[in-house]
Amino acid sequence: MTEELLYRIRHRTAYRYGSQVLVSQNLLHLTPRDTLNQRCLESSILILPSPAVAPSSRTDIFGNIVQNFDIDTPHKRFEVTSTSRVAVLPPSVPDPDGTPAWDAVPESMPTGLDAEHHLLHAYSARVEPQWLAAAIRDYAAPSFPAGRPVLAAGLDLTQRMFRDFAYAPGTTTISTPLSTVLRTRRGVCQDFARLLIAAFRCMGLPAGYVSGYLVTEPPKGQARLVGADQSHAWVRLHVPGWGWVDLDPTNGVPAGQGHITVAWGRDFRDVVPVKGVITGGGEHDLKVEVDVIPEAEIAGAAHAASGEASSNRPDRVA
Amino acid sequence: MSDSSSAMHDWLSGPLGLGYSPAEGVFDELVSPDGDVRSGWGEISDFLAGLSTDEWVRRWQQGQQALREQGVTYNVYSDTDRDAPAWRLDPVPMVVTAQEWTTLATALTQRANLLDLVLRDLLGNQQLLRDNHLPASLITGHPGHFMSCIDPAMAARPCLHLYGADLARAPDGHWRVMMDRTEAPSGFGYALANRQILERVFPELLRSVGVRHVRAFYRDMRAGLHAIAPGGKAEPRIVLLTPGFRNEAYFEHAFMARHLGCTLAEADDLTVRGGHVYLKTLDGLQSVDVILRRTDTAWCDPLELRGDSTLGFAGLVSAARQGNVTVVNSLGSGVVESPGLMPFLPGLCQRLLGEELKMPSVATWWCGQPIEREQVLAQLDRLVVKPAFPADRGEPVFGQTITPAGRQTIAERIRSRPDRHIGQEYVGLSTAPTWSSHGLEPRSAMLRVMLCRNRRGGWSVMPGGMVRVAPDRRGRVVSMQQGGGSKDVWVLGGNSVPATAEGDGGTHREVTEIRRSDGNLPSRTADSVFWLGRYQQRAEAQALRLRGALTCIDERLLPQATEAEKAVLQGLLAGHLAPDAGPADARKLLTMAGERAFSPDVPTGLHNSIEQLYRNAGNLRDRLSQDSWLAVDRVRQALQAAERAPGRQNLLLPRLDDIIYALRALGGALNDTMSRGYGWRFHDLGRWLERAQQSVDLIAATLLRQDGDNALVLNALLDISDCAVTYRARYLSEPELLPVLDLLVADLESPRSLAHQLEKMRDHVEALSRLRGPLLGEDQRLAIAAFSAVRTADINQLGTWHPDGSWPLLEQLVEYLQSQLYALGNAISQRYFSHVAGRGAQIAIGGFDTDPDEDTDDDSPDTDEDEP
Repeated sequence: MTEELLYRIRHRTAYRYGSQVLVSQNLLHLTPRDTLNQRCLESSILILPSPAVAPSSRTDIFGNIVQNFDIDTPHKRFEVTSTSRVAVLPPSVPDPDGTPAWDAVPESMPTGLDAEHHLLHAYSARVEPQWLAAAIRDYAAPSFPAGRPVLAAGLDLTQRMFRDFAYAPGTTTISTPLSTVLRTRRGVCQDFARLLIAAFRCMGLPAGYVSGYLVTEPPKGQARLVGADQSHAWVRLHVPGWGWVDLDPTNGVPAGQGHITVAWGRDFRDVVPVKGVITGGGEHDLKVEVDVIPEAEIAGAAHAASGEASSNRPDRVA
Repeated sequence: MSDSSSAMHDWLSGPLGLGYSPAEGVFDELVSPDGDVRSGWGEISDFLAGLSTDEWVRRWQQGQQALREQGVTYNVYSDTDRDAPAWRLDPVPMVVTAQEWTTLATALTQRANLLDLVLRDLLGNQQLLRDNHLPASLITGHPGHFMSCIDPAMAARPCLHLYGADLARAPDGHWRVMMDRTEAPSGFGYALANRQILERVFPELLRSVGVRHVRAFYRDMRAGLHAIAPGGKAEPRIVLLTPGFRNEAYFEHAFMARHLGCTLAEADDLTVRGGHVYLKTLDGLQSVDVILRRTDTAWCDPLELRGDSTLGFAGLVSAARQGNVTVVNSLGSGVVESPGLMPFLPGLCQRLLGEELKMPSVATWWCGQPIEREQVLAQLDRLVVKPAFPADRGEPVFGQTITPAGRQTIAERIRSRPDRHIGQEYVGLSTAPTWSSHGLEPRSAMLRVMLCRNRRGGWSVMPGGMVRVAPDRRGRVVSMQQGGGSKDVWVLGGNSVPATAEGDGGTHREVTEIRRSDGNLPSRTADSVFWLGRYQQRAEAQALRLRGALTCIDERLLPQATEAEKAVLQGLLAGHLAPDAGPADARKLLTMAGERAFSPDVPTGLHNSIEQLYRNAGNLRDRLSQDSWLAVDRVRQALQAAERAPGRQNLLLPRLDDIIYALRALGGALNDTMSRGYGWRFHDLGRWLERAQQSVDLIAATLLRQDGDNALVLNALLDISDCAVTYRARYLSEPELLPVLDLLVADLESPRSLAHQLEKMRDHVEALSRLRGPLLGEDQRLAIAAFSAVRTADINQLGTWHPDGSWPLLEQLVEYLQSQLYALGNAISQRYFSHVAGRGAQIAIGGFDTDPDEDTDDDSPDTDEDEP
């Protein structure tokens, strides 16, 4: 039986405004959800300045955990820190060559699904405009010869993107158009995830956007730096007869035990970690810090923590 | 009936009805294929036939007059504000018999119940999708499907409160539903406005025929809205959320707010705190319980819906989700507004209500289903192709009339986005007799019937409605956007006494608590009322100065005007002249000023002041008395008449007189009808502040520019300030500087003196400060200082002429007042209109405003509002 890995995660978002913000309305996707291979053991959110009324928490149509709150004390700094403890098993991935042919997938989509699935279905999330769809399809086409098993094709495209695209932080923003990413062949995880989703949808395959974290190894011989990690984004592809399989185009691999899911949706907009509408504020300055620390690394606490985790081990095994 | 038929035949063959010949193969509402007048029309057609041509024209003009006076408008986009056309109402009503009405009402009540159940499912746990009773992609692909509006708790409450159905009568005489309106159905206000107009055109006929009253329906609607406040609150606050003055149906929003007795609010008037919605008022935040929204869901909340919307306020979705405010119709209600849903309704009706669907929809095929798509493609030449979702703009394409190339284009469009298209059976709309310049003619008509939930949660059907007719007799599309007209709907079978007890609300007596305060005036309303006062006064001052300039020198002497005289003219005209207008020919100066006064391109001109006045009055449409609104309309008419007058002085003068009279009549109407609350104070404050500024400017532009006390200037000043009579009564001599200065500056008794104006202003500022606690505000400080400066000024010293060619003290005072008054205007805005609970632009952080990849068409909310 495979061991669960335990992580402690801290995700801090800090805004500084040029002038006072009088009121702000906010929405968070910061609490890691449960998935087939992941359980969120603890989580808490600290907001500064503290809202007069505690955040209202709910589960959205995709099963993500969402918090809403407003702040009406004038402020020039705004901070949200989400802290959580998550247990992750290795996700199970089917044999790629045993999956159904990709070109049979659009027809085999069962009707009678709920909206959560359908929102991720190709129909409801078409790639437009058409010239962009055509360009993306041209890029994706070599991975999709007729009759190829869908996951084999999907993995191949994921790996091709990993080879063809340069990871270049700072060259793109969340609003960089896909056409630019496709032309310049560079970007960050968000860009690659969006492009891969678009490519799957152009081929008629249901796909979704996953927001989360990836544990990173500090350079050999160096200590882990606080706040050095980042949020991560990848893609989920629907494989008929199996379910969803997560693919990470930034690393050219299926998601593994180091991928921690926070939320998923049709695209980034459905899962924005910290989103707000403010009145006032002027110029703003944003700082985000993420730490993903394997509990095994935490000296002294390591033993106790993994002991606790094994007593909580779930019956379901991926 | 035989009598009426023969009279009708005479009428139809007489001058009015000449050529009234309904087309073959369509149903005509007035005449049956045998040429008989249809049932229900007897007394009405007799009456209409009995009217002489002159009488028709007289009544028609009365109706037009009433329309204009009511200010009924429907703004067609791409027009500028100035051209907002009046609403088009046909004087000939649509007549529906009591029996036929009962059938319609029963069928539509069933449909409203059905759509509510479907909506509750789709906004709740979506069992209909899981069980495959509706194709999921018809719902999830609907641009009106918002995941943030889906919440299982929704399914427990009714989601549809107002419903409108567009009905077409097919050639077989049966009604079919063409379109369901569930997002933010319109027409409720226009229908009542239409009835009010026809009550003035045919009062005796409406009563004798026993047409059912529509007012009682409003009581039901009001009681229904009261009943759904969260927690069953006894006196809930209800607001009508409008996209604002620029929306085409703004008239209706204001009209409904007035008739429902609720507050008309724009997004900027509302805010969310701690998950509750509040109205920002002068008295602070007042909690809101029910929102009747006329803004489409997509635009209602920039946090959880479209991030680029300025027509919504952040936090609304969350407040509604938590059940702290009831939104009517529920956010997301547009998801059942799609003809693509129609093919599924009979099955859903069986499933959800266990009944047959009572009124069929027009036969419709949704192209998102492969078999249906092929059927549509195969029958393109006889179907009508339309967008499946209301957010997709696009005219219906009539297969019968398109060219083969056009058909090819349509087929390609359907294939590329099948889910966004429907094919519909072509239904030749019934025709209704419509008054036109060449008599009565049959025009295609569509009927909108409107329903609301009443106090008990059941449905009330408005016994009436609105008919839209095509712009001409060949038209097959009825659209207000395309120049069509509207008709009142007369449902027969009411009692002939002016009823007050019809409808559900009749038995429910509301006991209203007596209230006097209007401190809960929305801040934006206070702002409009303040600026209404300012523009009134500004326009008046501009008109008076222009008139003063036109009259101060005899027209025949103009070619010989001296430099000194030209300088006086330039001073008087300063506001209207281009800044660099040098000393030119006196006549040219006047002509130029006259042109610029009436040019829309001169922001400081008279034209723009009156337009601003009109705009601010428009923002207050729900709060102005009818007479005040008429007075506003007269001002604008006087302006338009002046703009049509040729530039000659002797023709322009009487026009300017008319403008000035109209402005004063407006001042009187407002002053006589406004209750002396905060609203009135802001209005009066605006007037006195503006008048004081204008007085100071006038002194600066005339006296201070002169070499000495020139009789021409003094006379003109007295004239423009309306003090000539007072002066003569007091002094019986030619004007002299000191007495004139006394009248214009120091005399507390004269409303034209600065002292009087500043005293009034100070009083208002002091009284209003009660709204803001005990600390002295900047506005108070400025107002008190300005008044004191004038009150303590020594007229003899002010009038002392310095040998180097100036009045140093007067100049000082004028400069001081100019800067004080300017600062005072800002301070008032700051204190009362801007800071209240954080007004200002809402900025999104963290997410996209819009999708960077979407090459969005221009789907601004201004253009995708549903048509009434």
